[in-house]
Amino acid sequence: MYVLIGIAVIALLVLGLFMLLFNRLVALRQRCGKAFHDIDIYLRHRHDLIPQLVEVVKGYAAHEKKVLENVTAARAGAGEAVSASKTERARAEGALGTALVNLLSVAEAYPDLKADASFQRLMGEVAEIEDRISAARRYFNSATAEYNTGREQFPANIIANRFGFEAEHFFELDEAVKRAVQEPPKISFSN
Amino acid sequence: MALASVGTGTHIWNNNIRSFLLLAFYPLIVLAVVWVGFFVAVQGHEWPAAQYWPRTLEFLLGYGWAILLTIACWLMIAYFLNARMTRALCGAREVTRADEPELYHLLETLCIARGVPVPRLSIVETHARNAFASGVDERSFQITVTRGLLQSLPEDEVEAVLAHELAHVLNRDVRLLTICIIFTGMFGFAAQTLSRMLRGFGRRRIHVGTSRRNKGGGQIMLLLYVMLAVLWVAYFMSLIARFAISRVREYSADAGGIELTKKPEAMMRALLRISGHDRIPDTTDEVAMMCVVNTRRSFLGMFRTHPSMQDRVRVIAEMTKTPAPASPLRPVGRGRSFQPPAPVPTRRNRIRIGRHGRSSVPQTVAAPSSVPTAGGVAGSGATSVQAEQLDPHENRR
Repeated sequence: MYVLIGIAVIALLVLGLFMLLFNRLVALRQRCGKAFHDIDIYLRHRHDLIPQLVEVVKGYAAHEKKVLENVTAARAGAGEAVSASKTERARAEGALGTALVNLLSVAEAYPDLKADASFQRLMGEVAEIEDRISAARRYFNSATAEYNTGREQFPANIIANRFGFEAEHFFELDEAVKRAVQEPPKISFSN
Repeated sequence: MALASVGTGTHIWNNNIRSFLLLAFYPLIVLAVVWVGFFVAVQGHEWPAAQYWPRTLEFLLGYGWAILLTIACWLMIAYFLNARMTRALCGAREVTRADEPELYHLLETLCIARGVPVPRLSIVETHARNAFASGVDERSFQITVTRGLLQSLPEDEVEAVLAHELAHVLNRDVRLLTICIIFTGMFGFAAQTLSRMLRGFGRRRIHVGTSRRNKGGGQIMLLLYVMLAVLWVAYFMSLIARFAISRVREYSADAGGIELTKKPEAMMRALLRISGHDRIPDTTDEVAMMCVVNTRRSFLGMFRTHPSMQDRVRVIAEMTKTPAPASPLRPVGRGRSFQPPAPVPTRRNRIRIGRHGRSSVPQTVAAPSSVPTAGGVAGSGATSVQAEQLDPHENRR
C-alpha cells in the first residue's frame, strides 16, 4: 500500500521534472526565434531608409549613377531574399551594407550634400539602425547560446534529443560571405 | 549576511528572496515597533504586573487592524507611485526620446542587446555627476542621470554608466532597494520630513520673545521627545535597509555593465571621472545609496554603502586584464552631442537662478567648485547622529 503511494509520488516528481525541463527548452527555443525575427524589424527599417537616402544623394550627385544603381539593386535583392534561406539572407544583407558604405563614402566628396539637413538626419538614422541591428544580433547570439547550453546540459539533453530540439546556429556568415565581408569594401570615386 | 552570493544567478535569486521576505515580514515588524512604542509610552502608568500583558494585547487587537490597513494603503500607494516619489525626492524630470534622443538611443541599444524593455529615463538638473536606478517592476523601472554627468562625460563613458545601472535593474538590486527605501521606508520618509520641519521650526523658535518663555519650555520638551521617538524609529528602519546593502551588488553591476558594453576601459574612466563630484545636493541618504558612486561616509554614521573607487577600478582592471587609466581625469567639457536646455526655474532648481533670472552658476564644469552648495549639508537628514557638515569639497582625492 505504502509502496504504491511511494511509487506514485516518485512518478509525479519525475513527471514534474520532465515538464519543467521540457517547458524550459520550449521557452528558450521560442526566445531564439523571436530574437531572430526581431533583427528583421531593424533590417526592414534600413530597407525603408534607402530610397530616401538615394533621393537626397541624387539631388546633389545625380551623376554618380553606378553607386546609386548598386544601392537600389542591393535593396531590391535584400527585399527578395526575405523568404530565402538564412545564408541567402545574410548574403543579401551584407551586399546591402557594402553598397550603403560605398554610397556614403561617395557622399563624402560633396560638401553641399554633407551640409544638407535631411542628409544629416538620414545619416543619423542609419547610424542608429546599425547600432540596433548589432545589438539585436548580439541578443540573438546570447539567446542561442543559452538555448544550446540548455539543450546540451545533463537531464535536459535526454529530453532534447528524444523530442527533436535541434541546435540553433549563431549569427554567423558562411565562408563565402565571410570572405566577401572581410575584404575591404571596394570604394570607387570614379564612375 | 546569511545569504551569500556565489555568482550572478544566485545574486538575483538572493535579491528576489530578500524582497519577498522584507515585504512579508514588514507588517509584523511595524506591529512590533508600535508595540514597543506603546510599551515606552505607558511606562508612567502604574499598572500591576499581572495586568500588563493583557492590556498590551488588548491594545494590539484593538488598533492592530488600523495599523495593518495603513500599511496596506501605503504599499498600494508605493506600488503605483514609487517612480514619481523617487523623482520628487531628488527633483528629477522624466525625459522622452524626443527630449534626449542620443541618451535614449544609448539606453535603447543596451536594452535591445539584453532583450528587455527600455526603462523610463529621467534627468536631475544638477552639476553633480551621478546616476541611479529605481523601480520594482517593468512598469516602474527608471534610470536617472544628472545633467553634470551628461555634460562632463564622453559618450562611451555615459554608456558605461547606463550599462551599470541597467545591470542593477536586471539583477533586481533595484527592486530590493526600492522596496527597502520606499515600501518599507514610510517611517524613514516620515522621520526625515518631520525632522526637517522640526529643525526649521526649532530655528524659528529661537527668535521667540521672552514673554513666551514659559509656554516655550513645555513645548520644547515635547519636541525633543518627538524627535527622539522619530530618531529611534528611523534608526530601527535603517536596520531593515541594511538588508538590502551588500558590496557584492556594486561589483556585480560593474561586471554586468562591462559584459554588456565590452568596454572595461570606458567603465573605469567613467568611475574615475565621477569620483569627487558625485554628491547630489539636497537629497537623502537613501537616494545616495542607490547611486552608482556614493562617497558619503555615513549612513546614520554606520557604514559605507559602496566599495571605494580604487577598489572598484582595481577589480575591473584585474578581472579584465586592462590597465587602469591614470587619474585624475579632467572633465571633458560640454559633450558634443548633449546640449542642456536652459535651466527651468522651478522651486527646487539646483542650478541657482539668481533673483534677476540670470543663472549665477558658471556654464563650464572646469572646476570642482562648481558643485552648488545648496543648503550646505548634503542631505544627511535628521537621522545623522553626528551633525556632519558635509563639505562638498572634502571628498576630493
